[in-house]
Amino acid sequence: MLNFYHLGVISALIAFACSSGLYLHSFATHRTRDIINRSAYGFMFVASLLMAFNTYNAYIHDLTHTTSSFVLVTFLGWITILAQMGFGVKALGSVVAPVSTLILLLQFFFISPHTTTLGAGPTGLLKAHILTSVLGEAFVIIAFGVAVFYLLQQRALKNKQIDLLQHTQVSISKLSQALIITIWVGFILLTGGLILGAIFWQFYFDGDRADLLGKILWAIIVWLWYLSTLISRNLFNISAKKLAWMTIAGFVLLSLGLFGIYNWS
Amino acid sequence: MTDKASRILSGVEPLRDKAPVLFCIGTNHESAGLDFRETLFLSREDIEASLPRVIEKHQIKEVLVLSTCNRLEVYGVLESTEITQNHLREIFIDLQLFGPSPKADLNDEIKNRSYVYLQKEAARHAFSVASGLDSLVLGETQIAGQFKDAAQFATESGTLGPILKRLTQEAFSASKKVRTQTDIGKKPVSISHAAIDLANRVYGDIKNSNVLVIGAGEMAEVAGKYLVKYGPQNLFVCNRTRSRAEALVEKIGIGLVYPWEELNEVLALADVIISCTAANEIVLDKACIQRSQAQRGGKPLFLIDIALPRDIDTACSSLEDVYLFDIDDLKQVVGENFEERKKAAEAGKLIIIENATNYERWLHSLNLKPALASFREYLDALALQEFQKSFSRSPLASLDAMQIKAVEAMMRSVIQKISADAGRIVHTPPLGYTSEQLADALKSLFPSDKNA
Repeated sequence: MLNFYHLGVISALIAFACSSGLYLHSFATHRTRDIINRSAYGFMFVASLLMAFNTYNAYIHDLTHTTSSFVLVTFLGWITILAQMGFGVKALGSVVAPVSTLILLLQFFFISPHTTTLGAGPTGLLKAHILTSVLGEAFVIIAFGVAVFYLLQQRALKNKQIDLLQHTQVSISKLSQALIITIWVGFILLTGGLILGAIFWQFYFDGDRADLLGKILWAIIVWLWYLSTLISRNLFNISAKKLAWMTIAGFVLLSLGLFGIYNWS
Repeated sequence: MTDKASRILSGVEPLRDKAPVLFCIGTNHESAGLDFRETLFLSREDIEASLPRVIEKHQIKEVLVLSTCNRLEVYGVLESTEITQNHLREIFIDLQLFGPSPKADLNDEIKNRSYVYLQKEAARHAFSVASGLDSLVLGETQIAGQFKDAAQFATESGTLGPILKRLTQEAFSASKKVRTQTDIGKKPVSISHAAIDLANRVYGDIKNSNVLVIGAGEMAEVAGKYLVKYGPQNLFVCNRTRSRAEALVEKIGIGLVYPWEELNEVLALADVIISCTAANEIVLDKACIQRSQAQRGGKPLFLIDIALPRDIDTACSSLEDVYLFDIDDLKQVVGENFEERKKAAEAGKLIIIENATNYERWLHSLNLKPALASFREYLDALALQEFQKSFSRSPLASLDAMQIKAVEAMMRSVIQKISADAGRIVHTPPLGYTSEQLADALKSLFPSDKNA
């Protein structure tokens, strides 16, 4: 069974993921932006607090294989909180939160699993993992469609072919907004899918782990790609056109991953 | 162009001696692109500076210059035996050359991108222009005002003579008729309307966006009033003269005025920028748009430049997420009730042709007047000469005063009858003759100085 300490780590992972999602938003209005930032900061605070507790536990239980990464995540978390609190550096959170999420996910996937002691877990967890992942992939596909449409629309506008726009009915500003939202929602769902998958993998999976390594690897690569897409938009203000191309590349990456996985299997 | 006008322009058919000829030479949105129109653009000051020299050099009797964002046209009257396209183009070129900032080497471009009309065709063109039927936005109303301003300017400059005065009167009358007798004026349209329709289409719903209007002139006013219909989230107005911007906001009923010094700050807030200032230099350059985009987080920005000379540097269009449109791009915006306006324009063309025909008739009569007047002079002189000769000797010398008066009245009546008949026949010549031929014949057969 999951114990109190496991729940602490899972909660921290979820808090970091939520913080990542909130920090990486880029569609908020002037009014909501501050609330979202505060929420992201709140989640970061909770996650850092939990990680401090988890680090302490890992240390007293002499779990040497996890202590160093837990210390790193905790340290990063508190540095971020201090940077935001003391110097108003909000941008740091948009990098630290997802990186901490990734470190914890890697911990879940690559440290020796607890399956042998826990056995097969609740089927709901696996279903939730599949549903969240598939929904995430669906959003990646939608984002791809929006990106293609955006590029077509953008080209028509740059070439001043206004007559080409008349039949589409969707304006470029709406497409740009839709693109960001679909990427963001896709990223959130992919993160959720990864977290649920990591928990299942760590505590309940009792099959041949080698079969799923490729899938995990591709999932993390795709997740990282979308993370870098959102970070590029939020921190470096990349244009919507570049964002669209990155989305298309992300879709290709996801397709390659799925194709690779089937071949792997 | 009519056959006759073509023959005159090509030099095949000479013009009658000293007959006033109405001409129009110009470029518009159809004959030339925005770049060229911008090069040719003349402000009122430019026209004031160059026109006297052009008039003097080319012996132009009357002249009117219409300079708008869509056209530069010169309407004029020449009294010449030889008018060629080259001569008219020379007038157009000199107008550019004699200004405060002479523009040289435009000959070839002007040759390729200008049009020339004479007499009835010139009148028809003027009426089409004043009615908005030749406008980039079919049926737009602002051109009538611009035509009026040009006529007013010509009157003040003393270059508007009877022929052009009549032309402008007929043009306003045609414009009024087209507006009242067809459906073209049902809903007002203008370049500003088209700009906002474009913004609404490409940006999505203007309701959710911030719109900045740069300028506070007529175009800005029309744009502002039309924007109210869409109800943008915020409407900012920025103008060099703050009081004008404030007056505009008061007229529109909504909006926030930003001082000119804060233009860069307000740029970062706007999603759609409509620029329509009368500035001769660039108002928004690439660097300032780049800066504002960095602050806006790369959200799409729509720049609509409806000024001439242009306000926004064309280099801005190379920026990502920035979409720049100018007046010529508005050609693609058909706007509201376009089909209705198109139909109405067809009906409007008939009105214009009718007015042009009437004008031509009047112009024609003006050309025939000297010949008929000379004939009448001839008859009067002849009558006087014969009267004096006959009444100085018998038997007519013995007539009393009453009888002399009766004979005199009879003679005057005969002269009047002959003169009126001649006038009627000259104005409506029999088959195989033209009015000019008959007028020429009258002048040759009965020269007014013969009796003298």
